[in-house]
Amino acid sequence: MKRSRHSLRLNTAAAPKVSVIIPVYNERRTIASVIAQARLVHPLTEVIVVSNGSTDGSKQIAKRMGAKVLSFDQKLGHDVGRSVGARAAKGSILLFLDGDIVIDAKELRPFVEAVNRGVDVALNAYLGSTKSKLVHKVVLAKYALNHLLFRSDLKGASMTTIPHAISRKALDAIGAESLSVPPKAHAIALQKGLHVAPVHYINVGSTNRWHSDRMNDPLGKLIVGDHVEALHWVLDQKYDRSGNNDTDYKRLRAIMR
Amino acid sequence: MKFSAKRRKNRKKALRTSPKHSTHSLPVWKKWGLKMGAYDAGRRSESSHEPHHDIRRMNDSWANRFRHANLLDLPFSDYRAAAESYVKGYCKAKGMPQYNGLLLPTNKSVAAIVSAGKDEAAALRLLQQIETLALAEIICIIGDQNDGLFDRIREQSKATVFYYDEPIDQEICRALGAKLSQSDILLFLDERSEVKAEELLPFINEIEKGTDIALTDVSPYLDHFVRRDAVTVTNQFVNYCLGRKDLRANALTAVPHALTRKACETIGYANLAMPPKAQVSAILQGLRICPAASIDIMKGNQKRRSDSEEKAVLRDHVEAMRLLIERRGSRLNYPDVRRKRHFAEGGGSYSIDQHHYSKLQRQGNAAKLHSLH
Repeated sequence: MKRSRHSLRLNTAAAPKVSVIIPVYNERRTIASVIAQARLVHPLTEVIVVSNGSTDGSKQIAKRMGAKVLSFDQKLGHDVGRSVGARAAKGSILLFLDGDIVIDAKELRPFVEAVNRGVDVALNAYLGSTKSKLVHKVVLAKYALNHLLFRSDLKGASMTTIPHAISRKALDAIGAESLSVPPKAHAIALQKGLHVAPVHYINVGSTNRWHSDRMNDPLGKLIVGDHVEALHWVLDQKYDRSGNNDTDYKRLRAIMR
Repeated sequence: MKFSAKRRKNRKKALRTSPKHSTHSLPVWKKWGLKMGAYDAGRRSESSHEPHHDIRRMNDSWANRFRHANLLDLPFSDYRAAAESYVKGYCKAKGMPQYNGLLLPTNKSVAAIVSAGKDEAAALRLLQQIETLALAEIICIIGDQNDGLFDRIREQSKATVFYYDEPIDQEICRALGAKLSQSDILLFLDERSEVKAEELLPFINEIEKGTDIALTDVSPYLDHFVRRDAVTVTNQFVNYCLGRKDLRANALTAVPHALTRKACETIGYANLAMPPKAQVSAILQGLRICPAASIDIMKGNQKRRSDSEEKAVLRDHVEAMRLLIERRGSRLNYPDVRRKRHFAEGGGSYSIDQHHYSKLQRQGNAAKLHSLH
């Protein structure tokens, strides 16, 4: 393995400004590059790798690359690593990545800069395939959730998609445990009035990554369920931002009588 | 491809409402209609001297004859030729005055519920169109404060007109119209529909086949997904959540559509005023729902909803999802069996590994230090 100069750089565990959180399960082919780029987003960066029972040497590579590796001996489930990493994070800006997509540091900096400027949740502006009449169930869910939360302006942008960055204020408002169900975190952020915006476009081809293999697309269905769970959370809140549902209903009853 | 050419190409993929080629020629249908009309008139008892009843009975005989001959998928021109000739033969044999409405392919009473308000000319045009059909009732509800419209409709059409004290949405107009009507089959329209009378027959046909709710199929006319409006996208999502991927983006938010009386009562008249919720309620209660015909309801941009109208429909979608979640749980049919959530909540244990590089190493020393917390 080519040893890059970066691996000898001083690690900044002491007082990081940015915490980059990367859940990993057997990504030894890409993890070194992912971490190398992650470290460059800001002079004071810590990289936290949450290893879900990796057996292919990813953990060792991550450690060598200067990341803080949180090791579990079992798989935690989709996106649970985000919550675990977020709890351990010390930075005021948290950037979430995937272990198998290498993104150049200069493409990651806009997310960090946005949060620095005051954006609470800085999203990827990637919206999925644009020229099709067919739509993947996950893309459909992302758009629909934004419409139902009266943020049609966000189109298909979502905390489900990486990369995205959040402020510490956002983390406190959303709660680390909700990051495991990304659509729910997204809904909480919107419902609590945080400043959520797409800030940079990175083509992650998100929908193609899993649905090619599995016939039933269980992961896709899980994510649709996440979106419904997110909606359920919003409906449970006393004052939802859609406003005036009660008065409309009373008027309707009066008219129909 | 130019926009209109693309639309034309898509029309070919639209639901065929009638077969491409006729089984017989037009004169054959006319002759058949004439003969059957005269025969059926003779079989019936004396006319009741109430034109309304007589026409119903004529339509009844026609519907029986139609069903008997298995003519459900006839091309419109043939249907009209046969029906008109039937009327001719029947009225002549009975000694009734000639009736010039188009007989409907059903025994049941059919009402048209029209919501009107903003576009007076369009409303009058629409009423003129549907008056050519042998409908039992035409109920027009005016949802906007338009003083002149009420009078003009009363003057110029046979419709029974209602208006409410305050301005009401067209969805509420539909619900009110349904409640006021007494017919078995309800066709819902609004002035923006701009449909021709013949385009409504497939909806009646679909109901005759046993469907409770017959929708317009908007699929061939939809844009690329990312350019679609909020209501279309949300309709598709709600249909997906109901396990009705086959319905795609088709929903009660679009007119025209037809409901049976049974469907209205099962859903509840108040819920009819929130079409997305009505759809969820209908499907949860096992009503049969499917598309009947493809109509380009977005033709001409004036059909698009305003922002406030769109927001109102989205609020209805929220209520629809609320109902669905109440009945089927917070994750519907998509349980989360994979995630170990207690780890997310801070439970469980893990080991932390981290290299600490000292300044010495940067100067090229090989010493490697690591500490475990």
